[in-house]
Amino acid sequence: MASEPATAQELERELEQEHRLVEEAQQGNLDAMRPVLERYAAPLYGTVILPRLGDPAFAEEVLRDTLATAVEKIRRFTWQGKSIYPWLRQIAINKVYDVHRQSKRSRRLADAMVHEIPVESDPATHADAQLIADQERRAHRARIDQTMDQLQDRYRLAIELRLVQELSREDCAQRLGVTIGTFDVLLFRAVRAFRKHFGGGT
Amino acid sequence: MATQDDDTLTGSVPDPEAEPSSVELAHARRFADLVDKTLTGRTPPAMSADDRALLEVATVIRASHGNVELVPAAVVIAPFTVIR
Repeated sequence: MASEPATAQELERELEQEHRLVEEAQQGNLDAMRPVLERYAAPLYGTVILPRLGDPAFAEEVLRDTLATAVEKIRRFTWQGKSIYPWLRQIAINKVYDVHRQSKRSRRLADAMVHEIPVESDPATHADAQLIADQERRAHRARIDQTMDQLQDRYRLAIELRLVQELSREDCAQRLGVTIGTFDVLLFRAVRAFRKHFGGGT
Repeated sequence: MATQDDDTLTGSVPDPEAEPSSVELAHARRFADLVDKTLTGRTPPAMSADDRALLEVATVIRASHGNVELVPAAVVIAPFTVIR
């Protein structure tokens, strides 16, 4: 999805097109859903499902399941002058909850990962999916940053270099002035420490 | 008796300067290899439960910075092939 803000006119036009496609789908032409789902698959995956699951393979499965459910239940959707995205997002979140319920992961970590982020959708301005996704991304980022702030400096730096900047192990080790083996240990401990602070350690 | 998985996920985390045991060194190396593979989109399907839990955390961190973006076209097409 484009990250540049759309103009009000563009949003209005996109919303009208989406409304027409949803109506077509509700009248039986399910193919009309395809461009709508193609548009929203990326934000659903990147800002709703994956940050709450952490497993790309699971996340893809949940996305697939979410889209299938949306197509199956499209007739139950009621257009309220807003994008269909919040409805899709809620289906996705319910699916994520199901996965967490079925898995044996730490209760606290599961709670931390599936935390609900309030979405301020303004019907007057037709807050679009991009706005909601950006808002959700910022909220996730804030929670990650908050947890990072609780880590010791070298752990925070190890995560920052390897997982955020995605530097090679060699470069990370060099930046920290340690051997690669020592950097591996630092990153291992850093992720363990992050997990504990994020909610899964007890 | 606590398993190694229990220790990894719930045990205390040593300070950065603490000397690692040979077991921790080996586990750290294994985790580093998993991260390597994940960063290049080759996450192995099979791994221990504790490695998976840690890798999930790594992915959550990466996702929050927009470092994980993928939606294969097949995912979107799937509902239609399933439904029809």
